[in-house]
Amino acid sequence: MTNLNFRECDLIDNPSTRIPICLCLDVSPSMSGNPLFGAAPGTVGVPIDELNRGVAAFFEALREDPSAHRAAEVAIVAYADGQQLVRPFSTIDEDRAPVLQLNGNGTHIGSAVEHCLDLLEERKRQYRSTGVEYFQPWLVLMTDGKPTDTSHVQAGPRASALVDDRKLTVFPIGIGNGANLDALARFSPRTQPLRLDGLKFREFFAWLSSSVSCVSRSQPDQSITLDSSAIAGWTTL
Amino acid sequence: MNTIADISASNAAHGVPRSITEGCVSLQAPGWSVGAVAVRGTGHVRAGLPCQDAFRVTATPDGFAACLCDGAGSAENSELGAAAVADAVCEFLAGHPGVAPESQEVLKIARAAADSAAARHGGELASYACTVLAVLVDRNQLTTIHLGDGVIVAGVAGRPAVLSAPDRGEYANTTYFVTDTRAEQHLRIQFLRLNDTVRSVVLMTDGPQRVLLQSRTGKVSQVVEGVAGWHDQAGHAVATDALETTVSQKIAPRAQDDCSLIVARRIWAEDEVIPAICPSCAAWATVGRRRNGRVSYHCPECESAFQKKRKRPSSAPPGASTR
Repeated sequence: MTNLNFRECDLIDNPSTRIPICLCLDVSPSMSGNPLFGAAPGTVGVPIDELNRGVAAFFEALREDPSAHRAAEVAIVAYADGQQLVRPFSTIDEDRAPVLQLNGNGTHIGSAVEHCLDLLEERKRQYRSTGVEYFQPWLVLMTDGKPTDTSHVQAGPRASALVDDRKLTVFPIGIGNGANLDALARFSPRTQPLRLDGLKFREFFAWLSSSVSCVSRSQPDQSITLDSSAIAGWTTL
Repeated sequence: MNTIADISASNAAHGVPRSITEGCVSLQAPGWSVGAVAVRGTGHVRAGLPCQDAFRVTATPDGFAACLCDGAGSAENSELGAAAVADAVCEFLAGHPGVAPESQEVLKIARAAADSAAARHGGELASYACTVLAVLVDRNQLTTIHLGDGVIVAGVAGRPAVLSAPDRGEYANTTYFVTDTRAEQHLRIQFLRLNDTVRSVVLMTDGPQRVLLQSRTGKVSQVVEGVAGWHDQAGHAVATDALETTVSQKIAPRAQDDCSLIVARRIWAEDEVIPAICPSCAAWATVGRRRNGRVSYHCPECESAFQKKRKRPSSAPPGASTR
């Protein structure tokens, strides 16, 4: 008797290819929007609240995307004069986005980035040891101020070297008029830092999630072009 | 989509078999039953992209040559590059049996094919980028040629094992192509001896590789040996048709990417005796004598003797006894 069939359970279920994304977010007191705490004059609204809404919308968008929700692994580091791992790397399942609180005093952006780069390295090591394939990691770096220490002097070249070696994609985002774009540029040799238009975090994170979706559907060696025309809607140059 | 009738018509028209970019083809080669399929990925269907895999198989006086190429998703003419390279490499192998080719030589031929495709259709050479998976079986010699991802598997004593593993960069969306400047460092050639325990050779692109090869351990799904075994149950045409249906329905939807496989199964002629596993020690036993439809085997490992009924698959294709 001929039986030209096979059992589908004999197919191998390889883990889906991951995109590690580290959000490195400024939670220094100036993110309250209050000039008394160092916010730039003329800030309208409460940046930290808008940021939280943006991150929550990002989680929601990833969860709803069939390919992105299995691929994206998001970690969140909140920083001021110290940094805190708010969420370790994991895919977006049923968990809600964490609510970031204002914390500390100052903007030690360099040590926060170093911490993120260490986390990404560790995550890639875990992928390799478990045979999980992965895409180039992303670092989303946001600040509304300027560095209050010198840690960026060391961290900047480390991040830049990774970007130049095509081992990292950095999204440097300045929030409001007080953000020092020159400091952000130290971490990003390829892309110019962008200044968020007003507090359009939601628009930014919507664009970011659609970019994740685009990468998670890409095939080997399909060059990934992020839709930069959409950026114009939420940035000012 | 090409059907076998189209292909044979086109073969007749051109005098030589040509590479196929979507569809299936099968043939009987000396000692081997060979089938190849290329199925457009569900992701490609959604994106309106063509199937960017191409293959060519051809029988030789003492075996067969086969080449399978996966066109780069990022390169706009990659399906033309894949077709040209598959054609050229397969023809080259078929014309040089018994010699281990140099990687420089193979690469030169592959690049020349991509070059002339570029000259015909226009565009940069890099837009014709593709990977290469190829084998030449010449009596008991097996040559494997491999650049980039995808995998070449052999069915040894009923179990599939990796002969040539996928080679890609750090990230899931990177690999190596014939048009890369450093392709030579990544082109792998093996010259192997086939013993009687090897019953199948399978080449596949990275699409089916995702569901047939465990990336962490290098374990190959038993499905690979299963589909090769279809050639024992049915003729090459029926087995390959079934493979195309299966790949479209069960493998391509999981892989999303284009899914191509070349499956070659060893066949034994009427007067040959199929090797058997020794029931005592599980080694492959050699033949003793044939009498009254029974074959006496002698095991070289444990010296035991056993008998088996002489049995050929009833549906073995006519003309199976070509050797």
